Amino acid sequence: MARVDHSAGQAQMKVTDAGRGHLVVKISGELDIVSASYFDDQIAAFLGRAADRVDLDLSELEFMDSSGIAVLLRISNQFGPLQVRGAKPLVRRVVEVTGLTAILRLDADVP
Amino acid sequence: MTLGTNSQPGVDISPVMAIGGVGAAQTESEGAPAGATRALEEAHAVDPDEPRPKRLGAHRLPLVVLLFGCVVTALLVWASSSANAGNDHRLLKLQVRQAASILGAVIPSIETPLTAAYDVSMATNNVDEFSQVLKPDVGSAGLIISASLWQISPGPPRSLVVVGSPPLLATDGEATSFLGNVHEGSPLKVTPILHGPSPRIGYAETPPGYGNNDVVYAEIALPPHQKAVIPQSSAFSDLHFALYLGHKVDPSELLEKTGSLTGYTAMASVPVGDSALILVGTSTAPLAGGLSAALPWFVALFGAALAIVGAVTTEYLVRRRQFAEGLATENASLYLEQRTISETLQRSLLPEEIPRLTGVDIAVRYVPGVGGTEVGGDWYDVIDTGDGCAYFFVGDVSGRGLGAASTMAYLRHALRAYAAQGGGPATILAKLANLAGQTSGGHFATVLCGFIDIERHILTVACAGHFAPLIMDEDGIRYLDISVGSPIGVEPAAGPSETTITVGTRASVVAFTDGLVERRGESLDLGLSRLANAVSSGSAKMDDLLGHLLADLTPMGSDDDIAILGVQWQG
Repeated sequence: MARVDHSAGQAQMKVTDAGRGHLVVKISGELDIVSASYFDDQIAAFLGRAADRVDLDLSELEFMDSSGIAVLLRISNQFGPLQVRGAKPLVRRVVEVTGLTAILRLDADVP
Repeated sequence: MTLGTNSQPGVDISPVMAIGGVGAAQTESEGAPAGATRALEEAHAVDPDEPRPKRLGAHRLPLVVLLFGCVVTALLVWASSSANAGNDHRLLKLQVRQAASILGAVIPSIETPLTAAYDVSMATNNVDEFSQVLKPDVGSAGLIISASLWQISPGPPRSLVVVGSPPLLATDGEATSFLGNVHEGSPLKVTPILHGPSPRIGYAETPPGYGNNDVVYAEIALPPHQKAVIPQSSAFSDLHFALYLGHKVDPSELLEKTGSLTGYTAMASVPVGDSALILVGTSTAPLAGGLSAALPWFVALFGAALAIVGAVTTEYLVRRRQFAEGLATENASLYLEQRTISETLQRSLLPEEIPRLTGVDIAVRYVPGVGGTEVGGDWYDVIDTGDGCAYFFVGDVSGRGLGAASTMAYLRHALRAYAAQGGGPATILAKLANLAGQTSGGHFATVLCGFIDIERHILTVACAGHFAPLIMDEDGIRYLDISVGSPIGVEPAAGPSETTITVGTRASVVAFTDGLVERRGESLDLGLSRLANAVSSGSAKMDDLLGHLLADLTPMGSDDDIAILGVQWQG
């Protein structure tokens, strides 16, 4: 529908293999109700990979809402609690409000 | 509010389609089928087979184009044919004038031999010379049929010598009056038509230089029955004409004519002595040429062809447009129907009726997201324990579509079952997390579980990944400070803890889902403080307050679904 502005809320996902089964997922842009729905195929492909440890790099994620949380939770459900690096306050707040700090471990919470 | 939708295709679909609320629950207490059937009926109200109001006159457009083309063609035909006729008329006038001037030149050919013969007879003083000189020019071979010399004074006119046949003038007995009026210096005098075995006209003149005694007179023959023949080789072979004697057209003075004069005629007159010849002519063939005459036909054919092509093209375009409009309307109604089915499904999964509780006013709202046709996973529920207490739930299953909706229904009914077993909100949510952990279908859900003791003004809340409720009482407006557990369906589950507070006499509690406060590109805290501000400026009655919040925070509707539940103590 016309009301959904596809030009806004674009998000990119990039996976880096740090070696020894350690993957870093970098999500940048805006992860919201619109862009999250366009992420499904990429996430599904990623979930098929084997990894011992997955970290999230959110340093270039400008915005996220609770639909974005769903994307992160699909990853954590597969690979267990995730270390989250560089989340901006706006993103951190969403994680805190949804009570997910135990699963999406924000880097400031990690000693 | 009821299960209303705007059934007009193409019109913006009303974003706010709230159901429930205590009032709504009362008016629709007949049960689930009533509400569901009604929504489906409304979906059918936009049946694409229903006759649509057609664009006025669109089907007449080809006819209008055809008529317009015909009118333009007719005008062009008229213009070209009148230009052609104008040319023809101008050329006819020229030809008739030319023919008349040639006729005028005949006069000297009569006059010159007569005066020359008279000059000779006077010089030789012998009237016989007159006839000698004229003889070769008079007779059937020449133009002059009869020539004669008359003495008109003294005494009555008498013929001195006659060459050729006897003059008809003499037998008419009009010689005296006619010849008596001829004087020296007066122009050539012309008789009226002289009727005899064959008609003639006569010319008389007193040759200059010899006084008024003698008159020379000649008669020329007119064609039998005034029927003139123009040789095919003549420059005027295309002309039909009539030649009259006199200054105006008088049928009795018709000298000769060819055929009948029909259609446009031109007239020219040429002076002949004291009289005149009038030539009236018409053309038997297009003088301006065949192409000029055929031009109007070419214009008519070409114009008619253009008009028909224009009309056919217009018809084609009109049909294509109507087809496209029909398709658009059909798509709109299909979209609306699908949307309505989604909403119907969603609403059938939501409680039909919110229990009415003594001492509190409870209102609810569900508004589907404006973006898509897929059913969402937001819900609310209220359970009356029957002992002056109640549970309330607000939840949101991640994602959209049937999967989210069925997960939502599953969680909602599980919560009702756990609530029936009793226990605090934290216990209920822990049971739910345990259940969902075993049967997680890829969806997760945020749930707020509240428990109220109405009489004692006690509110207990536990929260699994959900927004804390907004509290408004004598102490002000604030979000309840609670510890948030992880959402349902997320492993490992962090069990929520309970928060219990005592609220003021007319306290209000508002629980909601993310669609109400989240706005793209904006901080969550901004949305939360906007909600708090809207609550502070809202109405006292809970149902009105929820309407106010929706109108204030999502005036254009929200991309995401919205569920809101409000509880207000009455005293």
